[in-house]
Amino acid sequence: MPDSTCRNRVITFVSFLTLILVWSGAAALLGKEIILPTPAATLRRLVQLMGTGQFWPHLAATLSRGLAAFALSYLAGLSVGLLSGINRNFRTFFHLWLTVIRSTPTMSLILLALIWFRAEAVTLFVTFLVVFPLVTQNVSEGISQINPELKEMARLYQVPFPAILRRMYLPAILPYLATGAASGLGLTWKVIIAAEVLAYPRLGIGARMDTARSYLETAEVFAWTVVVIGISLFFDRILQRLIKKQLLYWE
Amino acid sequence: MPEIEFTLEGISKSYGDLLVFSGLSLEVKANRIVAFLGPSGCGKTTLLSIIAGLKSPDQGRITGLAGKPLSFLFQEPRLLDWLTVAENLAFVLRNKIPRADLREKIDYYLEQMEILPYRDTYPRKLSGGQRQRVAMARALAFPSRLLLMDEPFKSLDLNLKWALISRFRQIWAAAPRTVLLVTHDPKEALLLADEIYVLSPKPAVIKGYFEVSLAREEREPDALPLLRLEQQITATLIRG
Amino acid sequence: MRKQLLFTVGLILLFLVASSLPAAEKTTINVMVLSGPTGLSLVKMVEEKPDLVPGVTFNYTVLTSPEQMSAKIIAGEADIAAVPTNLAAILYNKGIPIKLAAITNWGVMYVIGSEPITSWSDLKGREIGVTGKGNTPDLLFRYFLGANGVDPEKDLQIRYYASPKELANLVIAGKVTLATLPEPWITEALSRNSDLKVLLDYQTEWSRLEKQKEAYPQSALVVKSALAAANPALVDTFLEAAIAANNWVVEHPEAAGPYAEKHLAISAAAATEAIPRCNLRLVRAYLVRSEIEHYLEKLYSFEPQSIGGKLPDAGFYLSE
Repeated sequence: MPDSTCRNRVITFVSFLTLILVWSGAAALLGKEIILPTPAATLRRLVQLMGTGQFWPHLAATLSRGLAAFALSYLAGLSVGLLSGINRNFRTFFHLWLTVIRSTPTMSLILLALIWFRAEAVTLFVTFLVVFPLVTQNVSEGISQINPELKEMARLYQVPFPAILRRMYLPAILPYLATGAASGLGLTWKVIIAAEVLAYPRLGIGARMDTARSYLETAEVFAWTVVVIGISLFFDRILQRLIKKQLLYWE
Repeated sequence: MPEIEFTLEGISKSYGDLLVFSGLSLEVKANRIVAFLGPSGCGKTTLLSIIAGLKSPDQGRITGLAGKPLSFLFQEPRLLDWLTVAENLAFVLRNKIPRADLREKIDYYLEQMEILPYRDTYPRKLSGGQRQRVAMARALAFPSRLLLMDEPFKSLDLNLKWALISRFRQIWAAAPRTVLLVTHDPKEALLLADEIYVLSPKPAVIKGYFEVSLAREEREPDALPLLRLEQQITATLIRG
Repeated sequence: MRKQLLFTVGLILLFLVASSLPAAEKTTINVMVLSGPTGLSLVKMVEEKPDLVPGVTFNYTVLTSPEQMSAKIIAGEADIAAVPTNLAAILYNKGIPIKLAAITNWGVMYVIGSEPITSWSDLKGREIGVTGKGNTPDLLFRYFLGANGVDPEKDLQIRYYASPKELANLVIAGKVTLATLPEPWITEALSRNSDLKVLLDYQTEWSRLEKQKEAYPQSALVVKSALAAANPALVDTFLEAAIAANNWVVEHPEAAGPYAEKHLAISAAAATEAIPRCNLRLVRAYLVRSEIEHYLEKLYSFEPQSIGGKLPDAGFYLSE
């Protein structure tokens, strides 16, 4: 076991090194920083950005916006997911909505939101509509995965609904909640950046990326991209650890 | 004369074209263990579902069951994996008995089923037999007049089955209640029941009715009177 | 199966070789302009495609966004291109081999709206739509506000929009009551919503604040360095023709209108009316180098990245 983890680490490291090498090679071959900056130039730009007063406000704005939008979507997804997992009629009712929302291209959502709302609301709205169906689906799937025999048992023993919800449904769907959170949050960062690029909030990584693009500061676009990847990985790691440690304690 | 727990009168039930019961009538006396014996697919489980109120009959009348709390023991233990053994019992008991008595009662039944050392263990860590003991403790701890058992020993090997049956008999004797046992195994029925209905399938009709008079504590798997009865029951089943 | 594939590939290759052959014999110059005011200067040439130099074909392409234009210039596909002056400086500073040949217009930005605004300081407490966050219209707007005692971060609400076209439509619909817009969107908006008025003028404000005779050199023509070095005469001929074409547009707005409608996505009437407000004056860059440098220096002081991080050196300017 430790032998294979060690080997995996080595492979991951080699993979990372290859990525950097391919990137450097391609950048050297093109020789135009304006099209493809080298990893070194990207890193330099990133460090330089961190030194400016602008970096942290932009980062904080995107982070708080993302987390708020995610929290909102998650709560709504949880409620609707529970409702439609428990009640067949609710499920049928929401199925159509969710299918429509899920099939709508993210760009359509952004474009419509741009017409309807202001910058802040655009990012919230779009993230909500992208993440909410995902969480809902996860939750209602989690509930439908609960053994019907257990549901029958609880019913026969006349266990009151709050107890069923708290002691049966919620623990049973915990793994689904966690994977829903992981994929939902991953999606949140992608969507929020896209929305920011188009909605130009005063502060935000996406808006800053667009400005950098208009100045042809490709290295800065890369640097911000690295930041977003970092954010995404950071939260993913936290959630994965949580899933492993906390959620399947009974196994 | 023991009082009557409930009666079924002229129960009929069909699924589409498939007639499961047609005009089934019987009377179950209080504090007796009654077995329904028959091959699989003969509608035994449907009968339990109707008694449990999970399904309603197409025709007929049930009296004496309304509002009575019921306990259940299924072929599978049906435990919640994320709750400990004690919490699994508490899950169904919490609203039915005073909070102060909860722990004592749970521990008593776990002790009776000889699984008290596992009270804080999660079900996944237990063997199949241990899990079924937990389920039995839950069914017995639940305050009910009537216990419905649907093939509760089916997935256990012979030793476990015998151990669990004798355990069950002891606990039942300490606090008798009405029990309906559905099984395909004549031996299980003979070891537990006071009365045995032999059912034949499609539609289910009562092919035979047997009373077991041998005192329960004297019923060993190889007791001669039981073996003789088993022959009769098997003959009835095969003739059906 | 394989033979068929080979045959198809062969055919395609043959086609490619064949189609590129005549082009190798004849020189083609790709001229790219943007739809909108920067294209107005050259609209006559786009329409008439005059034979300027024997044996040389001038291909005119109208692009719709500065992003497309940057991409074409970086890829080396544009030999002569009309771009915002600051974009030319950015490209040059990023090592793209181009030279600034001429300035085409001297500011086309105005504040338009249906609110009672007569001075920059009146904008205090208002909400205004601006396009191109971080680009010249935005940077100058913030500069003018600051110079008039209005803090752009605190004293008013600036809402950013993706394109002038989008903002113009919102203004026309009355959804946005104050906006900074370039021509010809100003004229377009005025003609379609009679509540609107031109409230403030970037150009006069620039001249007033900077004590300059001219307004700011907003748009420019750039030439690929290789072309300028290899064939200066050709470039010179083109510039002469461009100056003449620009002058014709200024003198004949009525006649230029239909050309604009055909090529630049502006209605003929709007173009005709907008031309006087577009400050079209095509001047060779070396003649107005101090004005250009003054402008770029100012932009640098607002946001160094807006001109590519530094003031372009002398090599930026196409010499006589």
